[in-house]
Amino acid sequence: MSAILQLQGVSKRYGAVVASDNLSLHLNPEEALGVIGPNGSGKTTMFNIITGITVADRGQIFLAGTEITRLRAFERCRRGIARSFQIPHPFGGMSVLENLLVSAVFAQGESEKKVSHRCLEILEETGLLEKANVRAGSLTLLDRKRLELARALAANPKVLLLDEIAGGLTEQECRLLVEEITRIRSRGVSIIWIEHVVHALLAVVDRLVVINFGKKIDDGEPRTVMGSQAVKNIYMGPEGDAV
Amino acid sequence: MPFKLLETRGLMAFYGDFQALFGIDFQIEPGETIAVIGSNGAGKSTFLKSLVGLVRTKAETVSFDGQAIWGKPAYRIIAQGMSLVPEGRRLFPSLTVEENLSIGAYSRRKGPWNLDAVYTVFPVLKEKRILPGTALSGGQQQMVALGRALMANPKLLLCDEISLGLAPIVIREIYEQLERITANETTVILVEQDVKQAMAVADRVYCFREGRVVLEGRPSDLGREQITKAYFGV
Repeated sequence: MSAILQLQGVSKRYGAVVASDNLSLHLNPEEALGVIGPNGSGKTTMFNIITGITVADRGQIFLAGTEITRLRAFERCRRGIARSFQIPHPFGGMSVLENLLVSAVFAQGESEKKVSHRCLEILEETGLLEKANVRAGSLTLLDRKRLELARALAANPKVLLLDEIAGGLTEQECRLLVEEITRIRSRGVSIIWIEHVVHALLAVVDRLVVINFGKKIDDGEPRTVMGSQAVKNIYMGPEGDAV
Repeated sequence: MPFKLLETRGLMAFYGDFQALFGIDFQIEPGETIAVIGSNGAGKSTFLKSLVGLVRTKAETVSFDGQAIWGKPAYRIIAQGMSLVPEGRRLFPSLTVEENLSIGAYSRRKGPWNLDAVYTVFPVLKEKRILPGTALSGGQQQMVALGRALMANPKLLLCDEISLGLAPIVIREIYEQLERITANETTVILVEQDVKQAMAVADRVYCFREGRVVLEGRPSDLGREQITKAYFGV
């Protein structure tokens, strides 16, 4: 199976800090891939490199077999990569619906008229329909998180990158989110999900990757990876030491 | 029953309608070092911010040194003897190292900590005292942040992820100095994502997950599997 997204030997340094260290990773079509790793391990940097916000020092990135390493962020978005941000970044002065329209019109190159129905559907799916005309800057944090997901979906992505969207949700909200992401995947969208709420992640993902110090430490069946010595060593320290 | 320097019962914290803590029961005795561990988003930093009055909270009880402190502004809580070393250091970029340290003494609390005492623990800061705080390396900036908190002569020192983004050798140095600091009868709550480091220095540990305490105990009584399960919830 050829990968929809592939990273080959990607490296990025910030001074002495190695945020991405010869990282190679693939995402299969219609796959949901989970990513875990301690704070500061380079997970969000990986998303920044995939989306073109950050330029890697070395390495290559391929989308559906085509190299996109040198494409700018907006070009990658138009080719089908969309993301949510860990700290929501809505267009605060626009309404919720307008936020989605910007994303849809820009990414799909269609007229507002053509995309507006789909945008309303997405608002309904993400529980924001009643707030379609509310100014995005006035939304609560939870609704801003919903808007992050909704706006990414409005770009009609082939590859959806989700950065910690389950944090702070109640159990019921978390269940709904898991259902929503499962639905998105069933429509053929491939997903990479960075998440610390591990039970939510394991309810969705087919495969789990562990990153530490910018390196891929483990990659495999989610529960096997969670039980691995590598994961315990990263979070708890090497066995036989203090813990 | 031993005196509790700090006690919270049913502590809840909110960012707007977003609830980050769901009823935290927590106690620390004078002289104890307690580590709060948990993954990103577990509520560890929010817990510290709640104690010093930086986050909107509700609680049955938050008492510090025998007095209720719930709802008090941060400057009053600092004056009562609680200091926070914030995540990311948060030095004042326009001030020198010495000015950053001196501003920590704003509350004029009496005690063993002054500029000389901080420079004795972190001699490198004396050499660099006239430089802007932000011109220092990450580890040295962390020393300034720690020193600034100590200048308030706290009874209770709150440290938020002091190892984050630092090289292992620097982390070791900072933790060695922290041991000297705690020997000075300062009580410490340490938020730390590095579980091994936390367990090595703490008398007791609280594990948070999704805004709740899911495990509490002495490091020697807690097994690795037990901590792993509490940490990840799976």
